[in-house]
Amino acid sequence: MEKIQLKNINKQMKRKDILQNINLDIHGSLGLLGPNGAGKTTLMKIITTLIQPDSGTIQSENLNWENTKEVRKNIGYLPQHFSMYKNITVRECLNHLGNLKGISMHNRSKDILTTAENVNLIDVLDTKIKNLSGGMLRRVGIAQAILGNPKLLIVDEPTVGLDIEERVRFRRLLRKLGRDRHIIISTHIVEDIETTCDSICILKDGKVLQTGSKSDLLDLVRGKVVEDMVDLNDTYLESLRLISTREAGNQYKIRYFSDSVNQNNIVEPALEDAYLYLMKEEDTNDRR
Amino acid sequence: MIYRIYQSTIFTSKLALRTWLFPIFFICLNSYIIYTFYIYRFQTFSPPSALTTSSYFVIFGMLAYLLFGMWIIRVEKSTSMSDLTLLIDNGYLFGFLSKVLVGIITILTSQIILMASYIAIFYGHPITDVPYYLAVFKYITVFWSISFFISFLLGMLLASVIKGKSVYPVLLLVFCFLIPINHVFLESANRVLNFDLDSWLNLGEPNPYSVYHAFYGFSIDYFHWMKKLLFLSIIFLLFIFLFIKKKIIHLGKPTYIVLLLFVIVFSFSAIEITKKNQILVNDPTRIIDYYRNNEQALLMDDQAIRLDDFDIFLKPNAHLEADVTFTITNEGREELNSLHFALFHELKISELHSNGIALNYVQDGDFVTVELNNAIESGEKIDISMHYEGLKTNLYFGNNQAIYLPHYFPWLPSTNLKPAFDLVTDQKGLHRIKPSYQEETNYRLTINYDKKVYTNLNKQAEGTWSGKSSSGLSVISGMLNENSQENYQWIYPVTWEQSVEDFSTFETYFRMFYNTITNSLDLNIEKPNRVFFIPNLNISDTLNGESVWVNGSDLILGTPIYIEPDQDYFDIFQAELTYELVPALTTNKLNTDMDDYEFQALFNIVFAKVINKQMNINDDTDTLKFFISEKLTVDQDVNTVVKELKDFLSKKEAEDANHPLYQEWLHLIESKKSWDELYALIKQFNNREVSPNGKDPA
Ligand SMILES: Nc1ncnc2c1ncn2[C@@H]1O[C@H](COP(=O)(O)OP(=O)(O)OP(=O)(O)O)[C@@H](O)[C@H]1O
Ligand SMILES: [Mg+2]
Repeated sequence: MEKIQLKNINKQMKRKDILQNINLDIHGSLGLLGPNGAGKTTLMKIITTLIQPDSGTIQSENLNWENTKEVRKNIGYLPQHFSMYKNITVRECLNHLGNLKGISMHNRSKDILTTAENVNLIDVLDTKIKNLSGGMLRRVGIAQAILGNPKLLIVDEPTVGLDIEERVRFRRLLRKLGRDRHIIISTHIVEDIETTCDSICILKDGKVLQTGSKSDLLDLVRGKVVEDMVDLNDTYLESLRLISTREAGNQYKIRYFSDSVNQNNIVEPALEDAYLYLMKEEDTNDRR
Repeated sequence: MIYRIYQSTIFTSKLALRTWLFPIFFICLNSYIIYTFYIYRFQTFSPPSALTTSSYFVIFGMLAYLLFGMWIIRVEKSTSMSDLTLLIDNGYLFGFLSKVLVGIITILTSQIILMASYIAIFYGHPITDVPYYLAVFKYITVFWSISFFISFLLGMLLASVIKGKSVYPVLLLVFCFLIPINHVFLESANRVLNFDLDSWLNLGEPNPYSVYHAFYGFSIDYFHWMKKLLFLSIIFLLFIFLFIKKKIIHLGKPTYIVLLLFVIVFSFSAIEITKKNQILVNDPTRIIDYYRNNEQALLMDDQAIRLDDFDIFLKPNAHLEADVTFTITNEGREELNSLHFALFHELKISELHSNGIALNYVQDGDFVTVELNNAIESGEKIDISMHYEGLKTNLYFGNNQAIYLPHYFPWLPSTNLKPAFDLVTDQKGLHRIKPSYQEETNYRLTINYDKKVYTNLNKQAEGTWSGKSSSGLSVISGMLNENSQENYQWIYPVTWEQSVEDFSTFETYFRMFYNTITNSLDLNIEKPNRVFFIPNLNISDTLNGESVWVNGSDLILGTPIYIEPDQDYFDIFQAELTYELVPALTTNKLNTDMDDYEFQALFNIVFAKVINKQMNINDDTDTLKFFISEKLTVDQDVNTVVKELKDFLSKKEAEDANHPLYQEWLHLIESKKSWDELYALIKQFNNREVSPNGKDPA
């Protein structure tokens, strides 16, 4: 599928700006990173056509988003708070949605099986939804989204509430699914997209702070991340832009942003550093 | 597409079945009504009441389906389903249609179960008439199933439009407005609007407090179907607008076509409803109120005209339409510039002309005045043609359910310049004033009707009759059965099948009655050979002598509508029957003045009591006592008569129906004498004083 371009998307709700002038290219896998209330879900719903932007356009090479009917045919969506009728089995659920999607009876059972295999649901196909664990339910959500093989998969915070192991498995799954389609994943956890996404968009307060590849983001903070060993009662700590502190024997290992060029303790930045850096930048900008 | 909807329907049904609550409710509801059937079969036998007294069932059913409709939308709102289906091309729409289908299937299943149970419980016990069961089916369809379906859709609609818990109060409000007893909530609204809002909104049995009208049948009139259609089309239109707004369906050719379709259905039903429709109405006092408020004075002079050669074309559809042509002859000496005749006020004339020239006319109460363009000379004849329609009452009908246009009711123009009804006696009871036909009149009648039509004319061909009558024309049809006994042909409502067993009791009784009365009063009356045994009285008319009528060889044996005769009917009510039959054979055929009623009724009641005794019929009615104490308008004249009469009746000789007093009394009535003469007559017999066995009056 070709690149999808979002241009000057604006959205207000109840007289509040939710999204402001969003410009974004979607190609391959995109991670949508941002704190709570940043507007991730809203943006995703706009891309799914569930809600209409107040202004702005979305377009791929041969498809305009005005044509919701066509667009919808190409979209698989996992809503942020995925839930399902409690009293049906996974198979019934997938069968129902597959039916509504217009997958013929003949192909449907095969489709359901491959999808279930894909997302590791084979064992629970005949379990009722109410008896599933949170991770399994999320898989059902993914399964219904990729049923019918849509070209654009939109998953809203797929890993929230999952334990660490499940989260890792989920990331692997998402990476696999992103191989032959566009995929947009929203999260406020940097690690979720570190390994799964080709490009990343950082969103805050309805504005795009940065887009680009992982290395583009890392370049932002390269040479600015410093690690030091300190005593906790050191008074100058207050003035530092801290990233993290970790206990190390009697002392603490701190990681912070520094603009002064102090070659010794500069370390290789991580994506998380870039994210935090942008957040803090934005906060100080706001304060000014 | 159909397959997708079908699969989705199966899915939704599963969902509903797994709630347990709805299946249990469904079973309870249906069991309840089947139990009601059972009660009306084995405890109080009344097959129609099993349906018409089902208000509770309808109320609970409507509530259940409102909630069901709400649930079927809400169940999705707690899941991601609505978002997901919205994203699927037509997914939401198909999901919606499948939900509607689940509702339809549930309701249809219920309908089939109930209809089957009804047939199983009542068929052949003793009713076997297919038209009756067809009417039952229609009743269940229009007042139960469609009402449930409308509730179901409203539940869906409200749940789609209103978010959160505030849907419940709205649901309750809608429920209160639509249930059969909604006038409890809407009474004041009715008063403010001056319009029966309640009966308009009520989706259930239209007359929840009235009894089944065995002659008219269930009130499954055309109007009610149209009303339901109107409701349905409005709801579906609202859904379509909602879907367009939510971009669930897109404006395009298919949408426009569906929209157009519903707009057509909407307009059609709306137009049909606003047309004149004759429906069975539950307001027994309406006619009484009318005559109470319109005391019609006789402002017109009797004219020496004769009406003859009636050519009548009846179209009893949604309401009665009649095209009537007749000849008026000026039998007086003077020329006439205008004509007066009587016609019941609820029959509205819309056209009146003579030989193609329209004439001006005024309909004032039960009278019509026609202004003639050219005066008619003495002896001259003109033809008058008129078109009239209307009829909206439960005392006589003319629509596709039933026709009851009896000879004693002025549904045809007549020269009798009296209102159709009068309020008589102290209690202001409803009294019918028979139109007068002094001479034999020719009639031709044409009706297209899907049921057998009974008249006192001779059948010429399918749908046409002609003949002469000097006592008026009766046209009767409906869900009636025929039964030929020894000497009589009986016509009676199909639900009265049980009473057939007792027809012979009546025949035995009537033979005796006929002989007794003709002998003792020296009457020369044709003996009827056809009996119409039908409910023809309203709940509010309770006067003696209003229910039984004789028209040539036809005997109309009427009852109040609340009576459901069974196999003991004539055994039990013989004594009462006499009180109705006496006036039918004596005073009802007289062309009398309005204020003669009490004078005549006193004779009828006294004489009925006497011949009951003569026939050895156990008469434990208090009719005479009651009439004197409650109904008779007492003044000086009347008082003296009553005193004198009491004296007479206490004598042994008074028990003899052949006593000359009775014959002479009837002659007094026939020659329009009054209380004075009656007093003199009774006094004369009292003074004679010699009773056959020589005893003194006690
Ligand atoms: N229907 C609505 N009406 C008014 N405001 C809304 C509505 N939906 C969302 N918002 C607001 O828009 C902002 C962005 O919401 P959104 O759900 O898009 O954020 P998010 O990035 O997905 O957050 P989270 O990580 O918590 O899911 C929030 O401030 C939210 O309060
Ligand atoms: Mg969100």
